[in-house]
Amino acid sequence: MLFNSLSFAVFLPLVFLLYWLLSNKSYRLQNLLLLAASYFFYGCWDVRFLGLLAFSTFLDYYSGLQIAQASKTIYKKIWFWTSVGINLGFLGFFKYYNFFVDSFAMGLTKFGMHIDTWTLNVILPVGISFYTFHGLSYVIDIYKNRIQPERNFVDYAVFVSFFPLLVAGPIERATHLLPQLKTKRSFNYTQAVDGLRQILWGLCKKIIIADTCAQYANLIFDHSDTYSGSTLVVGAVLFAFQIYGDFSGYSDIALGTARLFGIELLQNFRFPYFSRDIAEFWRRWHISLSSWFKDYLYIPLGGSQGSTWLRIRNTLIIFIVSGFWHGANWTFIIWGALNAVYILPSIIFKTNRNHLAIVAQGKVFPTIKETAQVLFTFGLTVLAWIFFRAKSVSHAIEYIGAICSKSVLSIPEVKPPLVFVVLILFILMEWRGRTHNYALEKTAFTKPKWVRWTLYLVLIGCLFQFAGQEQAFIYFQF
Amino acid sequence: MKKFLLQLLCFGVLFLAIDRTLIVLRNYVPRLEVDQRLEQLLQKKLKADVFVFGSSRGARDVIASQLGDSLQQKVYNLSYPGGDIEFQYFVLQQLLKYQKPKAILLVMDENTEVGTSENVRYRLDRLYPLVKYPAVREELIRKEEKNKYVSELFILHQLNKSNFDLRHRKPSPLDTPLSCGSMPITTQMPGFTKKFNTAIPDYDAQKEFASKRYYFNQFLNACEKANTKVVLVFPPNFYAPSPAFYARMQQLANHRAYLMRYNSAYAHYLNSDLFTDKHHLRQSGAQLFTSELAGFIREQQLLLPPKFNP
Repeated sequence: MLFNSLSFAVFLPLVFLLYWLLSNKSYRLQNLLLLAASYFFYGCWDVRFLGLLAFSTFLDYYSGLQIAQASKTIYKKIWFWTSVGINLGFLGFFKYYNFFVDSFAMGLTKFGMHIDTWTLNVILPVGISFYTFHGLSYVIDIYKNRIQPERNFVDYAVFVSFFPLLVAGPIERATHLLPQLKTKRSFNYTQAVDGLRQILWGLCKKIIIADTCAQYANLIFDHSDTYSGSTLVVGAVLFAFQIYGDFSGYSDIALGTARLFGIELLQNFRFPYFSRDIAEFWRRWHISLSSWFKDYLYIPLGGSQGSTWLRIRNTLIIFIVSGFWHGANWTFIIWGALNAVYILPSIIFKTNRNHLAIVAQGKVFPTIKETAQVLFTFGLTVLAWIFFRAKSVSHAIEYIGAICSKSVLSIPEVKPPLVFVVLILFILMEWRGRTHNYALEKTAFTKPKWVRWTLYLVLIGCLFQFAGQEQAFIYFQF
Repeated sequence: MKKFLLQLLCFGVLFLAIDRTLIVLRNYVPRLEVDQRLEQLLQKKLKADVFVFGSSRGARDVIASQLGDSLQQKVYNLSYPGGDIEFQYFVLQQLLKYQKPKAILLVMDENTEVGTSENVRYRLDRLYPLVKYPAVREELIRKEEKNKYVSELFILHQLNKSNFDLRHRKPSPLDTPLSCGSMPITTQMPGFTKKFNTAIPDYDAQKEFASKRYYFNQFLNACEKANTKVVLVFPPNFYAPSPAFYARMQQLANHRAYLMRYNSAYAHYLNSDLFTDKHHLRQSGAQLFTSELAGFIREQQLLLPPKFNP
């Protein structure tokens, strides 16, 4: 069930009404309803993987209790590593088995040995990377004595499987979400209206921006050998907007949906394309994953403490692991490594926290220096996205090679005017709303009701016009 | 909660009210179109004894008015440049809803008829200006362009971005039909290589699209059911004909159609002046081929009502 599907448009109001009208008596009833709705939602993808989700949930719940109750450190360790091992085992099997087998065989071929590989036609369970990370953070936090285990299984199961975040995040933390699930939610008019507004903006990002850019980005990437360098630049830029619209749009819908149920999720995007350097970009892009890796990998490795060499090593590790998390393909690993290379100078010279506030805060326009910084950072991310989008590493290299040719100075063969107009309007709206949680939020504070309603009507009208056949979200594959 | 639901209801009512006003736009957009043939068909106004179907080869290579004069029958051309067999089948369905023509001439294209060339497609752009007609809306739903329930609920969902472009379409020599529906061309395409290629083209049935084959079969079945005779027409290209393609279409037609192939011994077709490009005849060439086609129809006595025996 996609967020941009008709079935979700029926499902969400039904669950919303049941939630506030029938299960309003206690938080336990509310959680039971959310759990049932979440399992129904997930079952709509593939009912076979409901068992896997239930098993993973029970494993982490039970391990959490055992770790907390263990009388000896060794028992703690056994339960901890059992949980981590099984979680990562599932993730490894479903997501990386074929990659490792193929890479191993390819490695042997280079030494003149040939083996028959035994690859499997493994179907990747939707959202496995996300709910596995939920569970892992929970178990790690208990092991490190940061939190107490949740004793109520239903409450814990809702934490793992809450349907707005189940398939593509944001990756929640027990410390943030569980306390909200342990109290009765009361209906809040402002919060619900804000939720709807954020859903609308998320749908606009997905349907108007991402799906429209995707048509041309796919065309250009799939036939990159036939296009000029300038067209390939257009393709890469359109992909940059496609992936931003797609993923941040999904996150906006998830956050807005959760707000309808009185629950606040972690913000996942903060206008990343307005970043002035790569460090700032990574504080604004897929924030829940970046902070997960920071807290559970970077800091345990030593973080930014210690020698320069240690900081370089840790940075390289988290970016390469982050790339690998996205998928079993060398393109993702190189994408991660490239981002590590981008960020290393600021880590070495300790300038990575130079830009903490949003660009041109309190001003209408950025300075020339800020504009140059933003454009340069955007250019670097676009270059990295080429690896992310390409079919293979060689495809990415050929793509970049063609961009570096003389044909980059020619007029692009693909230059859809409607897309450019839409993108300019989108960038302007994002710029105006950059100090808020999402661009459309600004209208709630600054515009009278008739202006707001007119804007919403226009946006809904555009959604109808841009909507074609339902397109899946890119991050569902991760 | 009450306030929230009330506001939502008000917004919904306002949205629906505005949406209803779009009926005016939906009814207005067909007037902007140059090619009115499909609308006339949907209004059941087109009546003829013989209809020509096909893509651009049907539109350019057969001049319906000349054929009609020659046969003393009313002939109309319903070919759409770039239209695939699925689209042609949709047009046929609309035609058969209100009349049973004596014959249908289906003009063949060896690259696109059931083959893999993507030069033809389903002409959605011809349908969107006509969404005020239920048959068009049903077709868009069948094509999964639109959702049935949402389409019934919102006019906005029935429309397309192009419907909001209220400029009158400019008549183009490539896409403007004569009163008989044909679209002959008098000029030659730039870059047309005027050297006749004598190499006999290959035809690989393995590369056919199953969906195109399906609609080709449906087309013939619908005509058979309506007792309408079908002629598969093979006009000349500016290169050697493909006997393999002819044999393949004969096999697919499976005795449900007559086959009319241009006379390749006729040396005129080696003259590049008769062609607009290597796949399409120029007006002078189309006149020549239309005469040949008229001769075939007379010879086979297709428009008389004897026994059907292809």
